[in-house]
Amino acid sequence: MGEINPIIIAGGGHAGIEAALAISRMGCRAVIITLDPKSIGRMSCNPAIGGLAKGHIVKEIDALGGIMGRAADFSGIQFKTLNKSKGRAVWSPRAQVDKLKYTRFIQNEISLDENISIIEGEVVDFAVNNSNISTVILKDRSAHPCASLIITAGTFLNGLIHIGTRKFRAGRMGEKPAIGLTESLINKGFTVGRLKTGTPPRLLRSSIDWEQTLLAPGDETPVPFSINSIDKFNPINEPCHIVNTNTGVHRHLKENLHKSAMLSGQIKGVGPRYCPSVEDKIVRFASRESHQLFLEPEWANSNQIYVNGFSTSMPESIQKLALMQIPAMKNVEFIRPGYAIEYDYFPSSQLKSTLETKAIDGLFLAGQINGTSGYEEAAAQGLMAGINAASKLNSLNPFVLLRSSSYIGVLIDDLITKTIDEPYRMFTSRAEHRLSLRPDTAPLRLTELGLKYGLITPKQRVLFNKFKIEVEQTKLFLKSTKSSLFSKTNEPLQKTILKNTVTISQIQMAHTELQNHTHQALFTAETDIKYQGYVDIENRRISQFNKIENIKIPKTINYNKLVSMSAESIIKLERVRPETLGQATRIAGVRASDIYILSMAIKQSGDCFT
Amino acid sequence: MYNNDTIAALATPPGIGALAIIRISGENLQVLFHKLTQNKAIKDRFATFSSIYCPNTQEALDSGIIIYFKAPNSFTGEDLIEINCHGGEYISKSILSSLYAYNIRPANPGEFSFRAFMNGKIDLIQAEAISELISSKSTRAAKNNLNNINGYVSNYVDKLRNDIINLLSIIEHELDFTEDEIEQTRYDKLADELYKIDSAISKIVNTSAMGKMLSSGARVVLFGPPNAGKSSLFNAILGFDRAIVSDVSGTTRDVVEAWFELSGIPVCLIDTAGYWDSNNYLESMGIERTKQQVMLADIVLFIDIKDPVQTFSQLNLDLDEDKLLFIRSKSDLNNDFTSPDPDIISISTKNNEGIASLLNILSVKLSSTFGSHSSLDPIIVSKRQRHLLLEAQNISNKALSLTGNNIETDILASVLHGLNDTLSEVIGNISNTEVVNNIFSEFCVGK
Repeated sequence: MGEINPIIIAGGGHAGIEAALAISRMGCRAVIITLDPKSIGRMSCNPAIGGLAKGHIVKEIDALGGIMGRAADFSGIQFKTLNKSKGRAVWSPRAQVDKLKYTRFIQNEISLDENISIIEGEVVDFAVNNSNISTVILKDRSAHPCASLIITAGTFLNGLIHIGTRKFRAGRMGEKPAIGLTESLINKGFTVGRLKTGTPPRLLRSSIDWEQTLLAPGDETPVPFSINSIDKFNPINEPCHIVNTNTGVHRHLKENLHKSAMLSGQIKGVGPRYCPSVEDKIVRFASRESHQLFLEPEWANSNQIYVNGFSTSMPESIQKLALMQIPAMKNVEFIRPGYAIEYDYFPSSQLKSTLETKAIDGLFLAGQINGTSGYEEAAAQGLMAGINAASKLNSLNPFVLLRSSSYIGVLIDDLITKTIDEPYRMFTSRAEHRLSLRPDTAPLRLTELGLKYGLITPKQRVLFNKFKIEVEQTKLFLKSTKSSLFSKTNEPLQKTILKNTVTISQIQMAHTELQNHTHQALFTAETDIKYQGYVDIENRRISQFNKIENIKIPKTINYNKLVSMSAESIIKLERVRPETLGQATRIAGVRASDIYILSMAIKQSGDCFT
Repeated sequence: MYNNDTIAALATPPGIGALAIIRISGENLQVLFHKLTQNKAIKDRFATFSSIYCPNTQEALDSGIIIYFKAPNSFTGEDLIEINCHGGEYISKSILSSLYAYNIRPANPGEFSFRAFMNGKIDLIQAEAISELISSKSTRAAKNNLNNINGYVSNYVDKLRNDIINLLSIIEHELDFTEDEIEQTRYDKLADELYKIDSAISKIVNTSAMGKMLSSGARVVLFGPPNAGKSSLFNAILGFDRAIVSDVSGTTRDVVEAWFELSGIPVCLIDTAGYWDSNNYLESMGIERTKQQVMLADIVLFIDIKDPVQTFSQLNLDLDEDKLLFIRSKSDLNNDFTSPDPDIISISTKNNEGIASLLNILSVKLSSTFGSHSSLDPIIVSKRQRHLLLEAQNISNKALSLTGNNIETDILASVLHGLNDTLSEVIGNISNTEVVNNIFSEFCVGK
């Protein structure tokens, strides 16, 4: 019995740190190899965490013990729940944060963690022994034995920045790219693709006429991301500043569309719902005369203002001219122009649902390198890869989340099943179980599983149990207590809630039994009651269609032997090699009759399994 | 059940007849065609007169018309061969045996239609209509099933689904963006759309009574005291229109039934003669049987010589008055009886009086019971379709109840998805293969 090798993580971004911390919580050792230790946990783009569907992911990361929610709560300067005018399943928490505080929080926790060490260096290759990863090789030729390797290189692999027609290699603005790792992966048989993503300019604060901006404050009663923040949550509430584009801005952009690296480049079809760049927005929503832009300080009292909503790869001069059409920005000065970055990514059909590669045991890919966009999507993948790498060492079952349990489940299932032709971003519409995946229920859906895998700190466990009990007690109370305070007849309070004639706060004020329950628990109990009927219908409908969802497809299946199936479907199935029938149904172009054939074949366990 | 081996079956009913049709479906049947015809040239969808040879021994079995349909332009979507051979059990059997010896499998019930469905040639509604057409009991029923084979109901349901999907696209799109980013549709507009969808669903659900009647026929029961003339009327009605579709004698039930067609509608006329004791109006042994018929009836023709209304009221039967038609029989004997009730129909089978007007009144009453629909309306027939559309109606009501001051669009989206899924099931987009299997196993062999 020799000493167990650590799990090595290539990259210290949002994916890498969640992986490292999860590995540590599960009692294993993690080593982060990064080009620059000072950039660990750095936010490369938007100084905000959460938002539509992304906020849901942050809550789920928190429910599994991850750090993103706590870091956002600590460094947040404004908190807002978006979509409040729509149903509660789509209420999305968002926080604007102080980037420096955020990064500091993360680096602090990592440095205090005895199970995590950091090596400054660049991973360029790795050795494989019997299709098991064994050693990681750095640029300085040093070799590091590892139990597993998690690659979370983000946009750094052969990163190429475009500003208008200017191009130069970089991982992020001001940081070197990573060269060599992609080629090593290609040599080992992996296929690679290219993606582009954009980022807005950073403006000089003093060059903006703030009097001409609109003020948008955060929520008056902010709600934290993390369950750990419930008790002592008193963030500042910095108002956000808004400006609007106008026809002048749009005209400048329209006249110069051909100069936009994003639009003139390789991406064939921009997807219907994504708005990566402002030039894209004005083309798609051509009838709108103005779009909102949010001016966000990168950290408290910083001189750098991030223009949220103005992601672009236009030449710098055009960016400036366009923005100058806005009254508040007549004299705007740039600290940095907006730019597009092009980078290598690896189609996730090469991965299992644990994010481990199918070809090499112990090699995991997580984060933007899989073709996603956004800190939250990356962090979720890092978390999952870290848990699974540690699970292997601890001889635990693979940690796989179902689509019906979480947005993280939807994310990973989509990644490994669908083909990506532009950066994948989470939307609530991707989840067919949307009503069951409310952000406020994340702990109830995931924390118990997290406890089984050792991911939850004792402190969080206590808070979770308290939350769970309070929700159950509240629901029980509402079901069994009759009252005519809020209705004409004496009826169970649950019924009155369903009629929408009373709020849970009103009920709390009138009944001492609920006095000490937290606002969050009451909210969740109330929403559970309101949504239960629809959730039941949704589940029934989905389970009817998905009787086949979880039927496992034997790994040994040879699709070429399914003679009744069309050649195209065979090719598609061979490429993805879905793990379940449910996953097979989601492959584009696979038909119901193919699923039928496949399910018959599995039932009969015929000679297509060799 | 879904393979693509080659299957064959007799498509016409077994027994003696001038012609029989054998159907063969599978991939690449050219070689088989050559073997069957000793290398006659293949002309796609061309009737070729040829001797039919055993594919193995090349022994001549028959001569007839053979047609080759090249995939995908065939009923099943695969290659299809139809052999029109001489009727009579022996010939078709010998041809089939020779095919089975050539490694062709006997088709399971409904298997040809199943393959047609699997290959996207027909949807489930059309498949069910084909099956229904074969057992149509009246001209109207046949016309309706033909309409459905031609897609009347399918098109209606498809349009409905498109409307729902359009609405869903708008809602889903708006859920993915905040209020600042895009214009959000006003709630009253959403409510309007939902209302239109709901009406369209109700409209087609309401045709199911008519559809059921076209498929299973209307049950009209003759009821009344002995010697009121029920049997005479029974014969008179049937003699009136000679288009009897089927004749069932119910030995176990001791009722006599016969089918006839009334204004294109199949009617099962039932005589309950024999269950009326002259002292106690309803003899106890037969009471249940007669009562059952009367309760199951769509229309009850209550016949009495004297005053049917009064006689009926003495029975104290809890029967829906809408189902009743009162008939005073043997009017030739009761010339001086004037009834206070104008709704009593007077007839005399002896003199052949009043029968025509009785049948008219009956026809009108059936239309009003089952809803009048023109032959251009889509009318649903199968229980399966009805069940699913009722479910859809339920869901649609739920969606409507959500509209108000504040529509929670996340819930609405979920409900609409459910509605869309349910309507898809009507057309046959079912990933639950057992359900599909069950539907086709009820078809007959050769279909």
